[in-house]
Amino acid sequence: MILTFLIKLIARFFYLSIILGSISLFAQSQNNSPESLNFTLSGIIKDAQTGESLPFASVLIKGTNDGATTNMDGYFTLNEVPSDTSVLVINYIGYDDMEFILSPKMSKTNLVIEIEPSSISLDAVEVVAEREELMKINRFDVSTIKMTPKKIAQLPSIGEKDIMRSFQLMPGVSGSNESSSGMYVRGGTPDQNLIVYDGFTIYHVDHLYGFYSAFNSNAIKDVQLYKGGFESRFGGRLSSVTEITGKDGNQKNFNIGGDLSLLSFNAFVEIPIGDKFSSIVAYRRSYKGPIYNNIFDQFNEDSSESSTQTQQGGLLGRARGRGFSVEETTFTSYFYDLNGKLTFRPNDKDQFSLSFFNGTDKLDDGFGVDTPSFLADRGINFNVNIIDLTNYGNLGSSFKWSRKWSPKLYGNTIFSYSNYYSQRDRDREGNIIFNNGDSNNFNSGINEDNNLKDFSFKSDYQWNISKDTQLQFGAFGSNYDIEYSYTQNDTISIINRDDKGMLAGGYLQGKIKLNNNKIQIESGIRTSYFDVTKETYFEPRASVVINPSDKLSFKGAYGKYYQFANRVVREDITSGSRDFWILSNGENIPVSSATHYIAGLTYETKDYLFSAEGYYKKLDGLSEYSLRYNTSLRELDYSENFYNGSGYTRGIEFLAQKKFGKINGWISYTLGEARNQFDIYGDDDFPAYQDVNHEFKAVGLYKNKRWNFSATWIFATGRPYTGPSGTYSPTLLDGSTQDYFTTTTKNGLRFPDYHRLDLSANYNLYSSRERNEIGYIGFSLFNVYNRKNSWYNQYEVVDGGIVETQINYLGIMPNITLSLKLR
Amino acid sequence: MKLYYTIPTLCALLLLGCIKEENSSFFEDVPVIEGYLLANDIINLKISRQVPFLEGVEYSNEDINSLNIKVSNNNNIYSLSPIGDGRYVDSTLTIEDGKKYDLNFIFNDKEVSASTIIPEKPLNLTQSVSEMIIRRVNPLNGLGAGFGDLPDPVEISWSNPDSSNYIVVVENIEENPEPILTGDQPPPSLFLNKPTQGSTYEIPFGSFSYYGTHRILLYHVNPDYALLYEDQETSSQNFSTPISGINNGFGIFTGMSSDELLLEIKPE
Repeated sequence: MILTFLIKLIARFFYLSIILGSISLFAQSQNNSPESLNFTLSGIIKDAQTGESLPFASVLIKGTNDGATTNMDGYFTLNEVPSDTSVLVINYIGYDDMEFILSPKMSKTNLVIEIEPSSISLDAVEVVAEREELMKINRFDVSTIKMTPKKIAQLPSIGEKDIMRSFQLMPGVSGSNESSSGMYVRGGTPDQNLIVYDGFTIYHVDHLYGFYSAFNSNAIKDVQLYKGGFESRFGGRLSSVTEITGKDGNQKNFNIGGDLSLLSFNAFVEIPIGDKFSSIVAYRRSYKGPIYNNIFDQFNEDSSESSTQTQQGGLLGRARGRGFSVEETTFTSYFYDLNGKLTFRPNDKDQFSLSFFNGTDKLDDGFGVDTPSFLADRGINFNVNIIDLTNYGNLGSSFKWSRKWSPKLYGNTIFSYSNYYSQRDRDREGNIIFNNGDSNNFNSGINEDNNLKDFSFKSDYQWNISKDTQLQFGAFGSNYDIEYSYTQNDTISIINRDDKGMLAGGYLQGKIKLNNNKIQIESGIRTSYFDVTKETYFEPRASVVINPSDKLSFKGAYGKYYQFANRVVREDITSGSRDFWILSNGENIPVSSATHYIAGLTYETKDYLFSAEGYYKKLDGLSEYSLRYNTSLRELDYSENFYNGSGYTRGIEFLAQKKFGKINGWISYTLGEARNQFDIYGDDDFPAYQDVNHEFKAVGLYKNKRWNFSATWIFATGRPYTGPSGTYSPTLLDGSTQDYFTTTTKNGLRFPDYHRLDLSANYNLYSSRERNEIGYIGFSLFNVYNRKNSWYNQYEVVDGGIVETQINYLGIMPNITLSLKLR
Repeated sequence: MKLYYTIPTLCALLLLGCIKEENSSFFEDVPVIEGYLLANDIINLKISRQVPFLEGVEYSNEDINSLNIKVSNNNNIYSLSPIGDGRYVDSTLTIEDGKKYDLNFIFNDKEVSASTIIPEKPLNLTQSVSEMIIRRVNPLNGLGAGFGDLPDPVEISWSNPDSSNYIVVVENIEENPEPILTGDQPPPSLFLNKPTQGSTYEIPFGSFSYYGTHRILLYHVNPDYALLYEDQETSSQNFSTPISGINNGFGIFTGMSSDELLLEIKPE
């Protein structure tokens, strides 16, 4: 007891000394007489421990409203710094706020500022003003959320800390799609979200049916999500942008680390080579653990609920309703991903980096079914073999050259390659032998192959003209080659396309601050020429932020957006809709477009942030593929069954965040809707697949010494779907009947509401000598009260009956993670 | 601060008011039509309803046996009479090949309409043989050994210069036909094959289940009827809407014409 008291006393004395020392240092610096006034300062912000540059950090001149944000390489430029003894305030998510005192001797063109991560924590000392935000909404940006991969491990997870999943806890991003790591932002679809990883586009972000994202958090430094109204430097998507910056690798020391969970193992190594090279390699692979098995079991009868509707006494229908006996055969499924990056800094001005990413899923969901005993007793035998092989993934690489041409002009040029591939082979074969000797053989299958190749180039420049004006401009070009084929019953080629196209263009955008930063206006235009349609597309965009006080901001944005490569939904009522990437051809697959209107306000105090943002998105040129209709009365031809329509999404998002303290977190509520109108489905508009009217999310984080506890709860309106409506059986010429099925109005049915509670507790581990955080042991419980949330329904037509099988999302799932790193 | 939040709250309330109520009619009472308009036959239509998949849905008040169904040919309009079970006839209307017929009636406040053209009667229908000998089979000797020399298939041929669709239906017309093979369940006395766009068709001896006189019917059908068969193959994965020219209705309304031959199957 006395010992604890003494330690606390010493610690507090020690802490007081630091504060007093700082004050004295500050006083000293104030006594220094400045040598330069109103000068331009440029430099870089880095992590003090690893030397990693920190993108999108904010740098403010203390006592003024003037400041800058670092670019994606960590560089910043401050124009008209009052004096070379001014104090800069550096703020970066996951790091302590830092005050940096300039002195006349410091470099004014290559100033290096190193800041400490906020994770350093001495057990016995209560750290004051700890900055441990997990996510940050910048008051001065429209619809932007920033998150640090360093902190997302604190959130509960199914098996992997996951950036995309963490974003799904934010307002405006749907959190009820467990089977998609891709984000449904403000009623948009995942393909309308541009995902840029170190400069190259990632087209598919799902691992394991979408339960995990393809991004390994250990290889990622920074993530920004632009939910709408984004700037002209981004293009080619209708809804949102996720900008991911990979780690360059520790520039100071060799480092190694890894995670082990019930789903996967994950290892990374960071090797600095001399003082000019740094590198990182991260590898992650799943193994056949309990979580992996559990997700696979969603396809089996054990974890799904069947209900049977037989119109004409379908025998197998009844059998299935009473439970299949399912036999799993081979099981060779896995996913892996590999990230690598090599960075070379030959001098203070240039930086070259080569980034590589490959993530692949191989899913084997085949199984065989034999006659259950109660049917065998009645003399009925059947067997079914289901082959279900899926192989998909991404391969991407970029070469980037960044150059600081002058303290005010910074540019980077990227050459990139991105390939998304997906092959699916699903066959079903078997026979039924009835007790009267009749037998019924069946063999049906689907083969699907999608391959997208994107070679791109882009060159971006930022010119900081003065402290109030900034100009950004650039050029880009992409060459697309997208193949898609879809074959049924092994032989009937339904669709077989190979589309090629080139997109090229440029953009110009300017930012101006008025009235001592009380008004910030950003405006730009993006122009693209698409050689397939031979048309030029103009995308004007603008945003404004008005700050009537230090705490309050009003925001508004407008923007026009075009998308040339789209992921089109292939409607499949019986076994769940799928989608595929396809290039617009300007005819039956038009170039899609969106117009965004956004208005909102943010009220921010030292500890709290309140935000409300409303949006309206008008969408045109949407495409969907459906086999439900054959438009020709003379022949069957589904190859051109692309249907076009338009739509809109609108909503309002509320967020209340407690940013700091032992207990922090946020609650958010989104009221929204997403509706489409396709002529083929009728004159009226219908709810889009992703339409969710109410979504409430609460995230609570509690820190107690070495422990981090967190809880998240999500509630969302059930998503709409199309199901069978009825059946009819016309008599043919020979007197036999043929069964046909009718469907409900498009998305006329809705799944039950989605809700889920997740909990987690992490015990942080520190190195004994330096008291650095070197890892954690994490316990998490997913779907605590085992809510059966609907994923999709499967329907099977057997002997005139429709068998409905409800496939649910994951039930309760515990997980343990051990994460360790050298430093 | 309260003022600042009044605006978004009002916006939310406004949006809440505007969010569209779901259309609760998951099931639409759309009539199902079975109309085969056979040349030289009187018109005979059947109207029925879908069987709903979901529980708790309701049909409209429409009475399936008291619809005002009209079929017209040029300016001649015929009102069909109900004969029960959703069937409608008009004995004064004999279908003629080459002519166009339109169907029209109101169901559940919507106008149901369809039209079809009756294909021409098949021309030059011939058969390779008019009788076929199939030896009696003793099942105890096994299937393969009992037939002896296998008879050649019957070849049916007709003229089809424009590759239109034909379908062959074979029917035993004996009152008490004698089966070729005895078994637990009597095999059907009628069989048909998939439509063809060719001009010949072979009926192998194994297709026949009975001795006696068989009627071989060759139907000249429209593409929409032929597609009913093709459609089933591709729709097993999906609930495809069958091809029909019917507006606000399901089913089939199609014309056809036929010719026939007789074939005798005899034991040795």
